[in-house]
Amino acid sequence: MKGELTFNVTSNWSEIDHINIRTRDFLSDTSLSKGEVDTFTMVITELMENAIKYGQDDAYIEVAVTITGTDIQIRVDNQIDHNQIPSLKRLDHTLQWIRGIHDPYQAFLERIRQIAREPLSDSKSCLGLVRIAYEGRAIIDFILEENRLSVSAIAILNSSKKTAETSEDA
Amino acid sequence: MTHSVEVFSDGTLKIDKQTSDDEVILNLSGKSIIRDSMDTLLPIFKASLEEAVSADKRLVLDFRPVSYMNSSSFAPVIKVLEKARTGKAHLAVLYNGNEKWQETSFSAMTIFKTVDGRISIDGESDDVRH
Repeated sequence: MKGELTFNVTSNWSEIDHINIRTRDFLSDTSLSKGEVDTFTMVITELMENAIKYGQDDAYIEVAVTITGTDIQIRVDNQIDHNQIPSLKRLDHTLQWIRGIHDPYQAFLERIRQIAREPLSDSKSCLGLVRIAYEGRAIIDFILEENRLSVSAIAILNSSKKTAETSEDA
Repeated sequence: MTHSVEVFSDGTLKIDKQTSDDEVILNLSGKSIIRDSMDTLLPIFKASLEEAVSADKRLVLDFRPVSYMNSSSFAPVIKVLEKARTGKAHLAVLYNGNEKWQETSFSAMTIFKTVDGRISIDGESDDVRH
């Protein structure tokens, strides 16, 4: 079950498909279920999209994915563009909002309702973070030090939950 | 049913349009990793919705063959569902309920469903229109 993937990519949207393929290939080589492979490919790709949106053009983004026996830890580090500070405030606000709603599904539904109501000009979806929390069941956090942003997502693996349940049953 | 016409392709996502006597159908396939989906996908969805309404047809958005969608790509789906909900359009969104990621994301869109079936969100892997 254990595995580790680290790589650097340039902050360029054209890299997204390669990242999507690369992470899917890595996750598929572990013993994760197809559903988990799809889910965590999404989590990694969404975090990469955010890193590219908020990062300095063509700067390197560092990605680290670690699968332990019980969880998956994803970390994406990059240099941020100073002009994107307002977007980072929205990121912080969204994370606080997600934490305030205990059921990630309700947060996802509420964000869908908000997008439906918003004027087109305001539609910065921010659905990715809510989707990571809901679909990925991941705890998201971020650290901003000077102009370096580190975003992490940690999720318990279903297979480890099943093992724990089986042990308890026995 | 008319021949399929490609209305969008960016190398990863393809959208083909077909029309029948009672439906305008957008078949999406591939991966949607579009950055500015509100500027690219939404105009296609809205134009097709308007075409369907003016011809008194139902618009069908078929996502079943799609293998990946980023979250940004869901925003135009939400927008066109809301536009249909607040108007008189008939709209069906088809997704593959056997794919966990599609079931997880699209089943939440059922908040737009109407009791009269004017707007439907169907998670069937087979063609539910027949």
